[in-house]
Amino acid sequence: MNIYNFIYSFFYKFWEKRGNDGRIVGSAHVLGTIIIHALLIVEIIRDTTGLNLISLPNFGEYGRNKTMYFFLAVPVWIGLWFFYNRERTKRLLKEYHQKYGEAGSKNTFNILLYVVIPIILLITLAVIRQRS
Amino acid sequence: MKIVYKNNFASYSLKAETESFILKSQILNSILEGLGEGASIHNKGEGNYKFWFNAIGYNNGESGEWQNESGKAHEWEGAGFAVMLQSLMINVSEKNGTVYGSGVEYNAQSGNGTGDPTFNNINIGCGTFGICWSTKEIMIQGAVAEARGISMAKVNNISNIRALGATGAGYMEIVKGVSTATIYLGGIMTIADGAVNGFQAHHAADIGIQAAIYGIGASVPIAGWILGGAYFLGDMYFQSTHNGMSITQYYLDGKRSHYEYLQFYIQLLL
Repeated sequence: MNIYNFIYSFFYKFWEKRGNDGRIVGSAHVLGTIIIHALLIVEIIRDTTGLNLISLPNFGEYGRNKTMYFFLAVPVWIGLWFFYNRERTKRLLKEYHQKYGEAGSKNTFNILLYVVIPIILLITLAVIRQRS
Repeated sequence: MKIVYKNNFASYSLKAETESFILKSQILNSILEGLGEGASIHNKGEGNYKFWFNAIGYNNGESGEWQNESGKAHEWEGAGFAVMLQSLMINVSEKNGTVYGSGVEYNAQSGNGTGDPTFNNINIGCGTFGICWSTKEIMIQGAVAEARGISMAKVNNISNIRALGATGAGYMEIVKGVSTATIYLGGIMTIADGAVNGFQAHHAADIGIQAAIYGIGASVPIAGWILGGAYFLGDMYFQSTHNGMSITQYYLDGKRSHYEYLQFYIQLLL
C-alpha cells in the first residue's frame, strides 16, 4: 500500500466515523498531500539550486488566489473521487485493515510523517527563503 | 529612464511600464483624500516632483493612451489584469531623472469601475449560496434533533436514517464531507499561496483558523462542518465586497500595508 492509499484509507475511516462521506474527505486529503509534497520538492530544489519549477499565477490578492486555486483544484478532487471508487475503496480498506488495523498510534505517527511534517517543513523553508 | 524600486512591488511596476494608464480623476481624488493632504501633495508634485498614478490593467476590452513625463504617448489596453485593479502605482521622479517606482495597495471604494465584476459576481453567488446552504443544513439538523427528542450535538447517522431515511442520511453525509474537505483544501491553498507568493500575517492567521475549525470538526462534528463550510464560503463573500481581500488579510495586512505605503509617500514628499 503506497502512502497516498494509506492516507486515503486513514482519513476515510477517521471521518466516516464522524458521519462524513469518507470518499469525499479521503480524496481531498490525498489531493492536499500531493500538493504539499509537490510544493515541498519544488521548495527544496529552489533553495538548493535557485531553480523555480512552479510559478502559480498571482491573481492580485491572497483571497482571490485562494479561491482561484481552490476552483482549479476541484476538477482534480472530483477526478480522485472517481479514482477512489467503491470497489477500490473496499479493497484498500481491507488491505488497510489487514496491515494497519491493529497499529493504533503508529498510524497516527505515519500521518504526522507523511502530512504534518511536510507542511511544517514547507512553511519553514519558504519563510526562511522569503526572509533571506 | 532609470527606475529604482523601493519595495517588493517590482514585478507590479514592470507590468505598469507596459500596461498602465492615467487614473480616472475620481480614483486620483480618492487617493488624495485618503492621504489627507491632497492639495499640498498635488502642488508639490507640480513643483519639485512629478507624480503620475498608474494602475495595472483594466477591464478586458478597454483601451486608451497616456503620456509620460517627456510627453511620449503610450497606448494601453486592458489585457487580463482586471483582478489587479486595486493595485496602484505611484512613481516619483526627481529633477535629476531618478525615478522611484513603487506600489500601493489601494483599497478602492466599491463601484467606480474597480474590481473584477465577473470574479465578484461569482464570489457573491457562491457566498450567498453557501450562507443559504449552511442555514438549510442547520434547519434540517435541528428538525432531526427535535423529531428524535435529542440535542443537536447528539444527532448522528442513525438519527438521520431514522428521521430522514437512507437517502436523506446519505445526503447529510455528503454535505458534511464536502464541508470538511473544503476547509482542509482551503488550508492547503493558503499554504500554497504563502509558499509561492510570500507568507504574511494573514496566512498564519488563516491557517490557524482553518486548523481550529478542522479540529473542531473532528471533535464536535456538527459545529465543525457547519463552521467549515460557512467560513470558507463566507470568506468568499467577504472577498467580493473587499476587492479580493480575505477576512484575515483585510484586518491584518490590508489596512496596515495601505497605511505604511501612504507613510512612505508622505516621507518622500517632506
